[in-house]
Amino acid sequence: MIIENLNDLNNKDHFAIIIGSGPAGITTALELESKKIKSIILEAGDITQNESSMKFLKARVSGDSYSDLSTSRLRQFGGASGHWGGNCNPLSKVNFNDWPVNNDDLDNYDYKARKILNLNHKKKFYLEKFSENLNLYNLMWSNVRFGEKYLNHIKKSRNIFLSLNTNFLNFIGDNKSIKSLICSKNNNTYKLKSKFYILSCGGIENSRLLLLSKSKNKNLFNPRLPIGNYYMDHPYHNVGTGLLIYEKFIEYFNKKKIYNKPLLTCQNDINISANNNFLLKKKIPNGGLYVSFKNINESNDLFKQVRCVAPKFIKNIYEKLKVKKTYKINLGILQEQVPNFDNKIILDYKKDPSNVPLPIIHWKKSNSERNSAKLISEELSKIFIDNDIGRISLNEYLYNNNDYDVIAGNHQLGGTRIGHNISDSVVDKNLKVHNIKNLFINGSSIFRTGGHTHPTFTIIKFALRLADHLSKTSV
Amino acid sequence: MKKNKRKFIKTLFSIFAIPIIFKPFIANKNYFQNKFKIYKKKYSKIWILDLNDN
Repeated sequence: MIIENLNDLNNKDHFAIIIGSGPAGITTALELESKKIKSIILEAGDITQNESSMKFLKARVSGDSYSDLSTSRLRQFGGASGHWGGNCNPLSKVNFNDWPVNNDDLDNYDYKARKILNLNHKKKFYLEKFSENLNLYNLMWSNVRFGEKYLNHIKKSRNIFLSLNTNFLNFIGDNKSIKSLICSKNNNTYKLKSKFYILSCGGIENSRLLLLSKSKNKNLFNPRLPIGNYYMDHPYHNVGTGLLIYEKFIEYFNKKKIYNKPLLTCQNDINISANNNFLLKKKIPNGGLYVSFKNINESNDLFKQVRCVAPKFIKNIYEKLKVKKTYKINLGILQEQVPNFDNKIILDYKKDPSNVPLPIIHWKKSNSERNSAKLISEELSKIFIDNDIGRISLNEYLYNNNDYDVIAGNHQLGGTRIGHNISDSVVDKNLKVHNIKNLFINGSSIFRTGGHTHPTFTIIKFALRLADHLSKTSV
Repeated sequence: MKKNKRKFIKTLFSIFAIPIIFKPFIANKNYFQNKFKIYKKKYSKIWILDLNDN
């Protein structure tokens, strides 16, 4: 149900208070509800975002050019799922090498995560060999806007209490335990008590609010906790373009006995990434190539360019084919970032309207990402040449040190990363903040490595696992 | 005379054998450079082409 007056909850003992109503927060509340456990969700925004919300989402960025954080995030019920792209795919096994949780732990929550995201239970996520060094993989699309899908459910729920326009201000605690939480609503301040406290505010806000609490509670938080460090994203950029001959491309799939044949339509990209052997050999992070298609004919500029730079290819391959169906391909890459301690979130001296310091993001791309984009794209280019599929051109910045613009990404990861110990992580395998008995972090900020896959499916699995853990835990 | 002739033939074969033995290694090492060409023309793109493309 929606709580208008927080006095109803003030100073009573509750089971769990979830700060933030994005996909992670709502999922944990729903899973607790399924176990007949009550929880409170505090959402700083309203049902939908308004203009004044933008003032809370401002962030200064130092380092490389980065997307506008006041538009890439949403301060509203349902969080950033109000405008997300809906792409889902799981992290691969190798991404969990350094995590205290393995892939199998999360696979137990696959069914429930699909249900929450309206993903087809019969459809499989595949990762199939495409060549010696590359894999073919797929994405699934979710149509879920958490705010829309779950508002009525929560309004009617007797186990989920949602308070909108409620700003978190501070944790109060001692002896390695949070005793209460201070928040404000309609210019009034409230003190709420609970058994467990769960920060679920998204990739940047989790770090910001934890840094704020740490600055106010010097004795509660271990000063060595690397809060805000190892911040990551998935930089996406266009790496090149090319010409593809349909008959030769399909011939390649048949020759290699690739089971998952692509549909070459404008709506469907083909997703290609490097396999583990290639990554280890080249010492690069992974990247997911997004190959998109557009049907073209010989009058297209790209075709003319290929005729100019590779006349023998056109003469020997294209002109000898009886059926000539050609596509212009565009290559984009969504990249994994190597976790870097110096990519971090810190507190600014500038404050938001509720007098909480805004964040500063130190974010830089590294040369290993540029190298990864180059090597993975060149691998695909080699396959095109070896099998006469077509020819590819890559952007110049892959071969020099010029800076390049990141088009999107908007996957804010890390900052409160998961790990075995305090030296390089903030939360343990159960998402509990190291050395604090009852404070948990939920969402993309716990990612230890980012992989090159869209994070939401993994976030949902972790949120379900957290609810499962809390239901079995006593403080 | 016969000995010298045999020695000469042996040396000749060993000289020819060197590139034949080492060719696969050389080719593997410089696979990308040998087979493909990074070709830059009037377009601000780097074309990855086969050496026989033009």
